[in-house]
Amino acid sequence: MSEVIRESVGADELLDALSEYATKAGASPRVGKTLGGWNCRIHILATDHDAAFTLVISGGRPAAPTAGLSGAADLVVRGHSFDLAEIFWGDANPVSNYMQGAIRTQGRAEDVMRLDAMAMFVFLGQ
Amino acid sequence: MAEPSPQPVLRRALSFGGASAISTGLAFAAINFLGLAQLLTYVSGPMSWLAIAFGGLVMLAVRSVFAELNGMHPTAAGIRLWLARAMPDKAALTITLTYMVAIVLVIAADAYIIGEALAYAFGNGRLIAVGYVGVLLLLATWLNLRGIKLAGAAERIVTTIVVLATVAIGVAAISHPGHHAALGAGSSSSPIQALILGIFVYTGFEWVTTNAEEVTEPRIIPRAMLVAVLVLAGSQAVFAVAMGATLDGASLGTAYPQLLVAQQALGRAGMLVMLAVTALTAVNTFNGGFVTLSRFMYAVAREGKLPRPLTRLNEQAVPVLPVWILGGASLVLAAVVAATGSFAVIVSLCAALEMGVYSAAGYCVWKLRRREPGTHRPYRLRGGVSVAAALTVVFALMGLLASVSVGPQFTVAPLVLLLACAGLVAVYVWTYVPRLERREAEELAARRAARAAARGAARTASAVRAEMPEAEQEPRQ
Repeated sequence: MSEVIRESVGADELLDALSEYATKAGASPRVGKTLGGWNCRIHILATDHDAAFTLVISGGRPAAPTAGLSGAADLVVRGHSFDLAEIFWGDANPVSNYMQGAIRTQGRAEDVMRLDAMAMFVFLGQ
Repeated sequence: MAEPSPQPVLRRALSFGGASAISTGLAFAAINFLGLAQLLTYVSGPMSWLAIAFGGLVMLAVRSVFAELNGMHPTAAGIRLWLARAMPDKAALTITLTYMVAIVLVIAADAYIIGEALAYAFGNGRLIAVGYVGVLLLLATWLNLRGIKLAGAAERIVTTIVVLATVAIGVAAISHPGHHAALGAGSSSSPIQALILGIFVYTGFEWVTTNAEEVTEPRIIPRAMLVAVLVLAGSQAVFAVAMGATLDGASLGTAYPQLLVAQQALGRAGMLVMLAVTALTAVNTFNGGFVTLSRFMYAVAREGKLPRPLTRLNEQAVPVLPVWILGGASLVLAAVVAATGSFAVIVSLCAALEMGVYSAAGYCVWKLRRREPGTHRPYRLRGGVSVAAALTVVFALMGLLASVSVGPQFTVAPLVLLLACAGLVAVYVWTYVPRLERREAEELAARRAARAAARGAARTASAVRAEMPEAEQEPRQ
């Protein structure tokens, strides 16, 4: 299989994208309703450079993400910075990336599904 | 960032014991007892353990196949990902969706077997048995919709009870064989078909690879599969010999031979214990099959390959429609099986589908060794591409053989059902999926364009502000 060359997204831009995503998720009534009981600490790591972030979700509401890894994670998400940024921007379907092996996760399947559901509510308004 | 971040640490991870219990529990379904009963139509009771043992040896190779694939891509979407990388996406999707049918069949067959077992234990008729099946599936659907699932220690306890009780009842039956021992059993000698059924009792153990993301040590999954093969080999071999020692041909043809074994050896109390064990096997099957399959359907729908209503979640974040479809499809199938008494066909169909999946897995190893030689493989199938190719061919042939035999009889019924099922899936994949993909691509393109426009506008505004004299940037009073 030929490797697709993708641009790297810098750590600052990635954090901006993640922050924007967290803000949108926090404002979504559907996220609050369906994921209201969800508490999860997510570590997000770019595989093409050292950028790493922590996103804490309490009662379905994501707090502002922070740079670096803090605490023990419930879920770890790894991927190329471009793939991660595309997901946070809403430019890519997280499940398609996941099914193609572009992003990898560690943790319980329920948390992976809830994280995807959050993207679905934010960008598809379902 | 100035310094690289440390490696992440998972708060909760699946233990080796937990993974072993999952692997063993998923394979130890109620339908296994029917598989053992069919096995005894090909080999005599005292020799039946040999078929199980040979089946176990073959499954060690299957375990290596899944260990290699899982090591390369440890993900819950494993089978979908491996197949998609090894073959054209439409073919991969067709196989994946057909495999889903196999899981529905196992759920339906288990529900039917438990319904029949309950009806036998309490002296009820067939209609009441179907009622039991309905109640059981309704309960499983409700529990799934509420997001309730068996986890961790409970799963280990259930699997341990099932295995120990089966072995204990098996040993008791071997010690007190009945008067009807093995009459008519083993009358149709066919070592290949005995081997297929010997393999069948292990099938499902590989579903533990869908838990690959929950372990911190990559070696846990392959080791758990090894434990499952060993535990299944011991327990199924003991019970096969026990069945051969206690049941005659007519008893082997019932939907509840395990109850008859227990009744013969330990009386009504033993039979009730076996009834409880049978019900517990369903806990594992429903827990694993229902949950995994409904989430998998959700993921395939989110990927844009199944209709979008399948992605609708309830307030427990459970995909509602997939759970109802699974419950409904299982009930319909179980009712059809009950009405036609065709449970032996379901055993053959499930065996054929599983052989097909193992053949496809062997093909993935074979193809990916060539396509992705540089991908890290923590585990490698010994013998390389030649063994992978051999497994592909052998399992394809065994699948074909399983699909044209029900018990000792030659019949194309399972093959026809299999082809009908795969044909419907293929028609769906080749005609409807392209439409879904087009819509998905159009929506993504629209979102991308909207974001690009928004970012462009933000950049322009920022550039304009930068060019403006400082005084003009002050907010006007």
